[in-house]
Formats: sequence, C-alpha cells, structure tokens
Amino acid sequence: MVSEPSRMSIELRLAELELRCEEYRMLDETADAIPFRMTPDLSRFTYIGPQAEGLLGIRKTSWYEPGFFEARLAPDERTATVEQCRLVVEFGAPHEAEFRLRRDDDSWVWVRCAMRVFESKTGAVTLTGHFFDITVRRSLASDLSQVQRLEAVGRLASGVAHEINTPVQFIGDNLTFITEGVHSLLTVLKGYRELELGEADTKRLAGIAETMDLEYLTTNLEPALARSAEGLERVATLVRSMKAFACGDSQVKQPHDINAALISTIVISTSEYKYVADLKTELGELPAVVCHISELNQVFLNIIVNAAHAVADVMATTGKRGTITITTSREGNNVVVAIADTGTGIPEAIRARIFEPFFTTKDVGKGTGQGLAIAHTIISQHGGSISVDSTTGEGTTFYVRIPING
Amino acid sequence: MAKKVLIVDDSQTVRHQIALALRPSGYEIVEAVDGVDAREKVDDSIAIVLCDVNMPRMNGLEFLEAIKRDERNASLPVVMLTTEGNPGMIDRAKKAGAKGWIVKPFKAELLTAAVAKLIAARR
Repeated sequence: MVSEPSRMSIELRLAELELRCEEYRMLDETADAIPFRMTPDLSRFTYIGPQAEGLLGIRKTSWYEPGFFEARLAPDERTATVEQCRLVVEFGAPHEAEFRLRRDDDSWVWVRCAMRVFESKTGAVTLTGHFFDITVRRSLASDLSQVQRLEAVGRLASGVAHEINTPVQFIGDNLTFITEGVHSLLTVLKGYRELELGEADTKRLAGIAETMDLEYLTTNLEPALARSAEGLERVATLVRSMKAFACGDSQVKQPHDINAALISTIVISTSEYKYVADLKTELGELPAVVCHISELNQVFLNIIVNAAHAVADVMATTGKRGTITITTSREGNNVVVAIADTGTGIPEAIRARIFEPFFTTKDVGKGTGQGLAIAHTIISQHGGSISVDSTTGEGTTFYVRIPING
Repeated sequence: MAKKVLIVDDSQTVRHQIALALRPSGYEIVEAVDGVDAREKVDDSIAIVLCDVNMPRMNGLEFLEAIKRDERNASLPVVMLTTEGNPGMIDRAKKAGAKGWIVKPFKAELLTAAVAKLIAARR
C-alpha cells in the first residue's frame, strides 16, 4: 500500500517525465534533421520522423512498407548506398552518405544521411540516424559550376568565332574578286566570239568550245559563284551571332538591343528547331535595355531549346511540325519577351516546380534540369520576372520581363 | 608485433590522411602508389589492404583481381576506399572478394572499426 503523499509524488514525477518525453519528441520531430530507424537489412523503416512526409511528399504509412527505402534510391546510386549502410551495420561505426531519393512526383531530393548502429537493451539491432535535405546546397554548387561551364563555353565560342572570321573575310574578298573577274572574262569572250574568222579557225574554236562545254560554263559559272557568296554570307552571319551571343560580358550592365540579341540566339539555336518547327518573330520597337546581354542570351536559348524539345515530342506522335513564336513588346518600364510553342504543354501538377533546380521530366542525358532554374536565377538578378502559361496538349508560353533601366 | 596495413592510393595526401587515422591504433603503415607497386608489397606480413580504385598503371580492381588469383591471398581482407559509386564496379569488387566498398569522404571511426574487425575476423 502506497501512502497518499508518495503516490502524489509518483504521479507528479510521471507527469513530469511525460512532459520531458514530449519535449524531446518535439525537438526531434520539428528539426530539419529527419530521424529514422531501420531494420539492419534495410528492408523496412521501424520509425520515421513526421517531417519525412514533406521531404518526399509521401505519407508516413507508405514509408513503413517493406522495400520502401531501396525503391526510392536512384538506380545508379543504389548499390553504393546500400553498401554504405551495410558497412555501418557490419562494422558498428557511424558513417555519412549523400544520395538522392525519388519524390512522389518523380523529382529528386538530395539527402545527407548520418547513421549508426543502435543496439537496444533487449539486443535488437537497428540502423538509426537522420536524413538532412541538402538539395539546395547541392544545387547551388552545381548551379555555380554550370554557370561557370557556360561561361567557358561562351569564351571558347567567341574565340572559335574569331578564328573562323578571318578566313571567312579573305574567302569573301577573293570571291568578290573572282566573280568580277569571271564577269570580265565572259564579256571578253563574248567579244572574241563576235569576231569574223576564217572557216578553219571558226571550226577549230567551235571544236574547243564543244570539248570544254563552253555553253554550260557561260550559263552556270556566275550563278555558282553567287550561291557560294550566299553560303559564305550564312557562315558570316552565324559567326557574327556567335560573337554577339558570347560577347565578353563586362562586370557592369550595359545598354543592349534585345531584338538583335534574340536574332543572334535564334541563329545559334537553328539546329535545335529547324527539323521540328517553324520559327516566327514579331519584334516590337524596344528601347535599349541595361543588362548583361550574354546572360539574357542564355535565358532565351534555354527557353527556345525547351520549346524545340516540346514541339519535337508532339511531332514524334503526330508527325506534324510545330511553331515557335517569339514576340517582343514594351510594357511600361519593362521589356517583355514571349516565347510560345505548340508543344506538349506542361502538366498542371508539375507547373509550379519547373523553375526548381534539378527538376526535369526529360530522359536521362537529354536535360540536366538546370535550364529553367538558371533562367530564373539570371532574370531575378536582373530584377525581372519569368512566368509560364501552359495548356496540356496545346502548348506553352514563357514570358520574360526585364526592367529597361537595369 | 604491430599489424601491417597496406594503403594503396596514388594521392600522397590521401595515404597520409588514412595513415593519420590508423596510427593511434598502433598499426604499421606500408604505402603503395598504384596497383603495380602494391602487388610488389603484398606478402604474408600484410594484415589488411585499403585500396583506391582509380589509379594509373594498374587500377584497384585489377590489383584486387590479380592478388586474389593467388591462393595465398585468399584470406587477406581488402577494403576499397573511393569516390567511385559505379554499381558495376562495386559488384565486380565484391565478386573478386573485396570485404567492403567505402565511399569517400568517410569518418575515421568507420575505417578504424572496419580494419580492427576484419583483422580480428581473419585470425
């Protein structure tokens, strides 16, 4: 029989302990680190913090299903990750691993997993630890390296463009010279042919003319030269566009012609869309915009390439070519560039996430999921905005708004 | 007598770091710069091998397969230490008899625990 006062004090202690317990639980279950406990063979979670629901967008009950963990790992990382967990269990020492987990919507979350073996008083062994969401850190790092790589490619392109420019220049000069020379020679030849010659000479010359196919030469030489000049002009335009596209960006923003920039970018991206879409432009009158033009070119390029891919997906099923329409206009103190395509459209479920780093629905190797994230970063840094309007099955329009005064 | 640990890595910094982690436990360290060098240093006195994967001349997998072809090395524990996570390579290493594939960066605790347990298990 417990006396009244001591029973009171036990009840008090119990209440106190319960409170403590609750406090600890609160700490663990509201922190950024998501606690977990798993069977040592990784076959199922025996405990997972409630924050896990937000991490993958998947209800807690599903986390407890057998095989959940391994099924959520990226196939190319599964073996290595499972091996890291196995080592912790086998050697009984803590370890940290970084890997991706697949969310409910098939995008990826980068996690760091700090884990150790825990042996309870009853001797039950579990793999215990915390998941940390490191997607942002990972994407910042790769965003940065991606931008640096693009810069390097830009510099290389402008160097190559410069190297091509020199021979293009002298081939062009010589071609002009040859065209004029051929014209003069043909004129002289015509004069000679009008001369009155003796029968023997006329016959001999006619023989040579026949052998050399003079008729064919006189009709086709000049058009052939004209076509060469045309081809060379196309090379020159491409080279100029490459130089303009990659034009050495200074640290300060400078006034630039957005329409001209778009035209260079369109030339650069021709190979991406020409087999799947026709490209139309409706370029309005725009004031000069204070900006980092090669960064904006990168944004336009990313959107045009995406548009081309979306249109190509439609063509793959219907066989019909699509249209990409680029419109520019002024809206108050902003310039608005609209890039519309007649592609597949973006399903509503993922529309809100397309500007997130690493979000991609493209096949492995076709897209890094960085294009729109980089576009978003660049436009934000310009104080502008980027938005999207899309109807599944009809197409997508991206609107880029950039303030005129930088 | 102190147990000998053979560390195979083409980076001197990495060899140095691993040695630093193991020294407090009293191991004697033997270093090799690649698979070819390591093959010459593998003998009865080595208690465990910690081996990088990507190395010039002879990589870690070739080295592992080469020494495991020799009966006398059948029980010699080999642990791969690498940044590599290629599933095919991990499977190949396991098939060749590697005792573990630790992805860098790792905690010194895991390495010392693995070395101690594997040496103890061999005896």
